[in-house]
Amino acid sequence: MEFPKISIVTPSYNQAKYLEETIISVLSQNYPNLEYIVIDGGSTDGSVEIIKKYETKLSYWVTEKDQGMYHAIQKGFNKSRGEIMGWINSDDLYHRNSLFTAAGIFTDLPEINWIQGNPTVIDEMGRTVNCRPLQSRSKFQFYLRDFVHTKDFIQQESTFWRRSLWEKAGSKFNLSYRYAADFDLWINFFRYEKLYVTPALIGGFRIRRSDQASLDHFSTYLEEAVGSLNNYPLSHEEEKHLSKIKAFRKTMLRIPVFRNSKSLIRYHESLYNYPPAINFNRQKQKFEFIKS
Amino acid sequence: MNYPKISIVTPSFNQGNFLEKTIISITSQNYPNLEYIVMDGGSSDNSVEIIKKYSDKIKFWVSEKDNGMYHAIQRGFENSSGEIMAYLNSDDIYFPEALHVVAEIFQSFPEISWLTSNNTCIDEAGRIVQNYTLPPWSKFKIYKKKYKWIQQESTFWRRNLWEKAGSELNLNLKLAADFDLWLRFFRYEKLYTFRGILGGFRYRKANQKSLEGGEAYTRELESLIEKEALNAQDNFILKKILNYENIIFRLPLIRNSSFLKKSYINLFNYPPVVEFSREAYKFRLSPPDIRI
Repeated sequence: MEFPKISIVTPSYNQAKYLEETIISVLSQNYPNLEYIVIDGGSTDGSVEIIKKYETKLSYWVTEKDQGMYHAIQKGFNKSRGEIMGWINSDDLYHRNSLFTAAGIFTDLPEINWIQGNPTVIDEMGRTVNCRPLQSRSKFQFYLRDFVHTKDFIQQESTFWRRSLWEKAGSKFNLSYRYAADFDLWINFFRYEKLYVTPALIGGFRIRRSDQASLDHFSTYLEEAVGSLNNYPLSHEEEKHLSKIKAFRKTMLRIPVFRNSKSLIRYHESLYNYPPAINFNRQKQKFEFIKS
Repeated sequence: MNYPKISIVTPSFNQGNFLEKTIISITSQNYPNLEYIVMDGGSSDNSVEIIKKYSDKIKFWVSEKDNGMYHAIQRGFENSSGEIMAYLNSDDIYFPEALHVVAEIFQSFPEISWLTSNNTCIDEAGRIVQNYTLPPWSKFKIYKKKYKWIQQESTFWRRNLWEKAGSELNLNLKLAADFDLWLRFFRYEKLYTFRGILGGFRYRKANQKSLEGGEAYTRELESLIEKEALNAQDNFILKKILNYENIIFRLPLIRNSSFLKKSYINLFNYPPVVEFSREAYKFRLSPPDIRI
């Protein structure tokens, strides 16, 4: 098995309660080509002591005032060199061996530049309490603002990409977004690549009782996300295709006799131009595309 | 919280490559009321040394010739006393905190007598390569041979259900004795599904019953379904279900009626789904979302 260099960044700020578990979920995998970077924003709650405890295993760490979480992640990525990139916030967790899973997918399927694992949710005790059904991803769903109703977002904790894609997208976050800079990055990525989803488990999002940006600032997140779509104007072809989908949804899908027709459902699916699904081949112990 | 006693049996025979991972996945949970039993069939590899290494965390173990895996499990259960029961084969694993989740769910919902979760598979390297959300289970689906798959590694039950079902595995069956147990459980109780993850089935390249004996397993299982004698009421319901599928849903004008779909779904009498509520921060039962 090959082990491409994987760069992981953890932004940290006064989340000592969970930070150690996050760090352990990265380091305990013993991935042989890991570049792990922790960027602390000047915590005063014991986070720095936790980081120091693991400093021999970190490629880089710093504690100094910054301009928020995405600024911290950006600083981390600026220090990184790995071929595969991802970040994990200081309360979230990677599932066991997920770095090996990501390495396997990118190695077995070289045409893939961006992946998302099956989204999972972890509670305060670290129990995996929810797995969402795996959904194929298409940029058109986002251009159509489906997430406003479905509340279904790309799970950042389960996402990895190749550096070449990061570079194409400008190697930076849009730091004018306090909450939805991740969403903005995905929309930026979608200009260049499809997002492949895998039924493998990569990361878990930690739901907490309180004090969590995703809970307290969801409406701001949504506003920022919708706003960020304006940053990336669509090409003429994309606009045309989008109108086609919109028209189809407005007409065919509203007519009862048609909307249950199998061939129309298939046609509707085909409009989103999904990438092929990923399967695990048991005999080869490798990932492969499901042939359609 | 109370910790009900959980009895786990691991049957073991010459799987020294994976056995330690299995044992650690159980003992590392530090569940305070665990009764862990390992039944080795006289392994000649390093299995017995591994078992000995963890003997202080194992309530009971033995290494002597037996009549196969299910015989070993049966003998293990005969030596057990926990209120909640399950077995875990010597290459499979439980996920972190799974025993704590199981305990809390059984404590919270006295109406649940047996429980399973999302289906999850790991590979030889321990990567979590597949995770599937399945629709909820109904015995009528099973009677219609829609049985793929109740994941044994993720299935737990109460002792009183085990006792109702005769307190024994059918040792005449070499392959599908697990499924035979599920069929008997269904006579008495609904199988509930938890939307998180509990156990992982190990996909191996070779030397695995489920791989080499896949077809034989399915044949044995299907013949068990055919032999299952339904009581008059269940028989009546099953006929009604088949009537919908073979006649009513073939009539173009009425097959899309939402009223008919609803009454069809109601016949299956699905149990609620076990979910984790972020607001209440505990497990809750939610109506199953079934579509046809």
